Amino acid sequence: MADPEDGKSPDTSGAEKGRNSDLADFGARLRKTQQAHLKPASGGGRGTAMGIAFRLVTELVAGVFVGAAIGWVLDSWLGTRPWFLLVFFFIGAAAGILNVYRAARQIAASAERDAGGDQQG
Amino acid sequence: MATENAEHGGGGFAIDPMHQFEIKTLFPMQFGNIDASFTNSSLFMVLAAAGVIGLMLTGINRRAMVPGRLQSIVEMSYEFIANMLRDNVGTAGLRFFPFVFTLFTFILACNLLGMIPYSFTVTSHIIVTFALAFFIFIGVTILGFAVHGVGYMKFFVPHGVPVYLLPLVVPIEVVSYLTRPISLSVRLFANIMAGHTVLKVFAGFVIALGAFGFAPGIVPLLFMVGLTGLEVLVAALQAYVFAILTCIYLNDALHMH
Repeated sequence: MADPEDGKSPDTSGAEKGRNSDLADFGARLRKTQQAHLKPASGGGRGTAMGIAFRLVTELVAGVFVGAAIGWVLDSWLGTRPWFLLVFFFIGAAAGILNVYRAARQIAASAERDAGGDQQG
Repeated sequence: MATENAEHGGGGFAIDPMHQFEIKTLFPMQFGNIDASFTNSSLFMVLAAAGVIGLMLTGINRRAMVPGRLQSIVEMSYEFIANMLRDNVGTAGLRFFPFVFTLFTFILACNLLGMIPYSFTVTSHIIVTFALAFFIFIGVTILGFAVHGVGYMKFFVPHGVPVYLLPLVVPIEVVSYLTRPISLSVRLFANIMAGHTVLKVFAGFVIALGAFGFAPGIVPLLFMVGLTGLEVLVAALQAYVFAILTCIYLNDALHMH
């Protein structure tokens, strides 16, 4: 009988009340947990410096490679060598640089989010 | 790994660091003109898939209130991928949880199995990683068109670009979109292949320099110990990068930036 509330509620209405408040409490805790899960917190896409460097390099190389491949295929299909290869090589290079820019921005954004988001983690 | 090199470096120091990537046919199979033999690569894919399924099934077998070691691994991997999807795609992305989870655990299992000496690393072959990346690319593109209809084409037209620049910007955006499967597959394949080749080269140094005495031989061996640790990190990191980029592509298809 350490808890005064426990002693005062032997009747059914009191037990019912307690269960309801338990349920409300549970609902509140559940909502809090769900909210905590919804906000972006954990460290995403940072990795090591080498990983970042490698990611950026593959983006650039893939851009040039895909551009040149498209140009080469169009040329051998239409018989216009080397014009499409030349044009798409530069379009591919531009796409590669664009990809590097986007990847770098995304890495920077997630690093910033980590720095601001979870100090304790 | 060093002993394997010794085997093949019998005459002098003819060490072949690429020998580990050789495909060997275990059970020959032929369907018409297609060579569908069961190779060492297929064997390790089956082992990886069976290992993941076995781990998951034994892990959730007990379903204890206080999880044991295996159950903790299963629960942590579940939370890891679920949080990754929530952070990068939003709650709408949880529909694709089974897909991303399968992808991540399969690649991670393949990479880690490859760290065992004498084993074969499936992900060190570009065709394997390219097949994975290409199916993701096709699936994400279909998803984009299914969600947005023809409006998904607007993905290639950035906001606020003057009309006279569109003939230049749209091809660049299209090529940028088409590079996704290439960069995704090349990143995984190149990291794994380069790492394993470096390990074999250093293993060769152990033998070559070990011929001059104990001290010169121990230095590359110490390097190898460090590199092996680094390779385990790379194995996990590359599986993570593959999964997170899949999430980012899913997010683009669902929400179009």
